[in-house]
Amino acid sequence: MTQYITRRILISIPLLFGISIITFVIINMAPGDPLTALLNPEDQLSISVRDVEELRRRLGLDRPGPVRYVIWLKEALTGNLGFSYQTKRPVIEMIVEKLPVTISLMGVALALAVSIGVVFGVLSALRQYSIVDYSLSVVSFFMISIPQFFFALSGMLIFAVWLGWLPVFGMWTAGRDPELGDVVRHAILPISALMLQDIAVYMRYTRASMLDTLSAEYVLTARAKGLSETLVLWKHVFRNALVPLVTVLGLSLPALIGGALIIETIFSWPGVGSLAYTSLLQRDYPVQMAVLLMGATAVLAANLLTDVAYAWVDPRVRHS
Amino acid sequence: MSQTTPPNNHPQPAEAESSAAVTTAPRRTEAIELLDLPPELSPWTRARRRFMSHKLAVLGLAILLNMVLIAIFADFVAPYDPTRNHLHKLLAPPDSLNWLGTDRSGRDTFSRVVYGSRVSLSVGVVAVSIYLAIAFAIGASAGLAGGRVDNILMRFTDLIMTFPSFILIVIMAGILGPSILNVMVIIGIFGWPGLARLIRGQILVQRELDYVIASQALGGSLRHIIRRHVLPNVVGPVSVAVTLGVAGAILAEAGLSFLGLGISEPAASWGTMISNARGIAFIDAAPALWLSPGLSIVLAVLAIYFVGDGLRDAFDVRGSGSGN
Repeated sequence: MTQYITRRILISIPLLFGISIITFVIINMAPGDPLTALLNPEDQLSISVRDVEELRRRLGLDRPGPVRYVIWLKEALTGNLGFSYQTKRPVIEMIVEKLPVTISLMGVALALAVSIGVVFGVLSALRQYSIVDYSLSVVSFFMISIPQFFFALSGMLIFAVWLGWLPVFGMWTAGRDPELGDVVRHAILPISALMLQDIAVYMRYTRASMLDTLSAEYVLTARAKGLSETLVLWKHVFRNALVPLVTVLGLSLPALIGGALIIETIFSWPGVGSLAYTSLLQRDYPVQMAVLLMGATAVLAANLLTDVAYAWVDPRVRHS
Repeated sequence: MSQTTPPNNHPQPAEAESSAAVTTAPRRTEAIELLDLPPELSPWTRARRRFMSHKLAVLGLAILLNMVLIAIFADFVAPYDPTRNHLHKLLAPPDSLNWLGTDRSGRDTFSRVVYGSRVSLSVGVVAVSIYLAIAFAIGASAGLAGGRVDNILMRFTDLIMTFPSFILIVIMAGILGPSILNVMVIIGIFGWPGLARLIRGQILVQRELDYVIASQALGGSLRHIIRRHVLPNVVGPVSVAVTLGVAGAILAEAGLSFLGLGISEPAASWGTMISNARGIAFIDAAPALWLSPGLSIVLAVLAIYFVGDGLRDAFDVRGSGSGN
């Protein structure tokens, strides 16, 4: 197991460098001179060309791309991801303070999506080809076809505007101190929109995995031994059917990150998603760069964790 | 995996018993009649029949064909020019002249929804065509070359897959600026990794199958084997992934345009329409303005997913990735 984990980590290191190179290349495609963003517009009128060149040289902006990449990477490795063009604050600080909101939003959405998806997936598989199975399958098609932003707006219209049951947006009622009950009420619509697609995905995977397991020979053996149906279903089928779901968990993250950007923006939640959106509108490239870098690193880490978890529950993986 | 072995090359059980028989053909028909088996069908006929028996898939196909026709003949379907401003009638509610009302600039919502289908469908098709070409080049080279080439290409694929694609697309769109061509290209150049892996995997599986090895042993050239044996069997899973990919591209374009980074005014895109409707006043001011493009997206994507599911049944594809 230790050997397996070490090997997986070693494979991840070149990928990490790859992520940093691609991020650097993409952001360097951005039009405009970083200096224009750095200089105060009033100073730009009075400053001489020689001073601009001097500043450019001092900042290393006259060096070729690969050299600038190495300088940037050295800084990034020590935790310096640059300063925001807009707020002039360290980017890493801006992101870290918003991270808890986004992580809890995504975490709750994922946990709920898995639970709901597994329950309905099991139900679907146990009643294969019944009306329940068929309806759930059609519902899951709708779930993956509705754009998150459209679902969010429709939910807002119905439950917040027409029925008045839920607050329209924000993370808590403005002008009051945040308290749990209030935040939960504000979180219902965003989390529903964020988890919608994942529910369908987990439902379909659970159903397929359950059906696979139900036709396995050891299940036949268990039944032939005369075990009760409940025992067969819970101990033999359900537990084994859940194993392949571990691999899907890691795959959920990229879509959740994309979803957080849209959902936080619509519902004005103060997370990394809305920070990223603001940085897009303001062309705040250091922030965009950090979001891309951290997003990809998070996906890489999630993949690593999933692989390790899978190897842990299924010993066949680590020996192949 | 789809192991639909070509039926004509394989000896039937009835033949195998009497190896001395010279006249195999009539004997085989006899055996089939005796066993009361349906006459052998070509794989394509079988696939078509299976597709047609999938009710939702047929429904999806019908909806999709209608949408394609509407998109092509938008000039005749739409009652008004989608960019013309009827200045005496701003933000009008639905009536007999403007079936879905008008927007802030007095443009007819129904006409804009009709023209929006052009944007969505063309972005979906072009973006996926771009990434199918990339995926095919990378996946096929990796699968056929093997060894170091395979290793390098697949590590590169892994690398691209670690980026949350929507974030990547949004940032690129911000850098390149909003235009329909940029949207197509951006979705296209980042969409290929899943499909490339699928194509590579299919080729690796096909390479090991007995009839391919047999063909190799008989001296079949690589070109012959690829065209005659590998490609026809890769078509099934790839067509499913491509179909789902079109739906994914349509959703990505809608999201991008909704954020104001996709297709910009005055062109009519469903995502842009929703975004503008939201910007006007509050969402309950003119629900038809954003509900109609929103429901159009749902309908288009749903129809495509139904078709994809039908294709999955038709080609007997199991557990293939969605390509995203």
